[in-house]
Amino acid sequence: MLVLTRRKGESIILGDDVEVKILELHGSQVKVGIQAPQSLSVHRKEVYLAIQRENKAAAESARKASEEQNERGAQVEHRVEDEQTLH
Amino acid sequence: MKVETSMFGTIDVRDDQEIKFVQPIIGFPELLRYVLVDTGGSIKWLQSIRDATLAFPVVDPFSVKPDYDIEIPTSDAEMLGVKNVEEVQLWCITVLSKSKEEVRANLKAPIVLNRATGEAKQVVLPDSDLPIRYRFLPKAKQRNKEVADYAGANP
Repeated sequence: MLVLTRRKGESIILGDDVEVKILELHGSQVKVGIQAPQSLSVHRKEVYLAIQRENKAAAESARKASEEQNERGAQVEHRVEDEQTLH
Repeated sequence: MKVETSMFGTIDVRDDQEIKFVQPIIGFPELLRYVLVDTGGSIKWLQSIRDATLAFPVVDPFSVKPDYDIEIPTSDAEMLGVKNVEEVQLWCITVLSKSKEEVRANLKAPIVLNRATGEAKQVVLPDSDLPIRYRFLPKAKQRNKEVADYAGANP
């Protein structure tokens, strides 16, 4: 891990087009500004991990529901949704 | 196109029914092609076209929280080419459970679908206090009730 010291108002450049700027300091809190291309998603790590965990739990819960239904030999009535009706 | 699924068998998907993610669903890299399958209940299924075993239960957030109110960040709206709000359809990924109290939807990171283009993205609402785990009571599908006892699953 690279460790750099920065002061308020100073920046770090990642690659060619990502800038992380130290905006404000309040005790143990730091406010950073991030400028990055749209295609790069930026998340608070704990939020990102929580969402990842929920997504995986959702997929897993569907697998479990599907298995139980197969065990019962139940047929699933379904249709593919025309979601993009404006297409 | 024929799509193999472990949940629904082989399903037939027209090109205009395909949902194309502009970024993968968080935690599921490289999978960008999905289709929405309706089994008649309030929970629908976002089925991966590539991975037969992957389907996310999803729910319309307004059906579980009528006062759901969000602002889609401009960068996400631009990425999806959203021009007006009527084009937008929201789906929240849902965790099913046998114990009804555990059924929950992620209101903080809805899937935003541009119905005009079929493009979608799981959008994280950065400044919202909406819960990642919002518990709700699923409505069971009435017909086919006997197989609806897996809370919220509904098939």
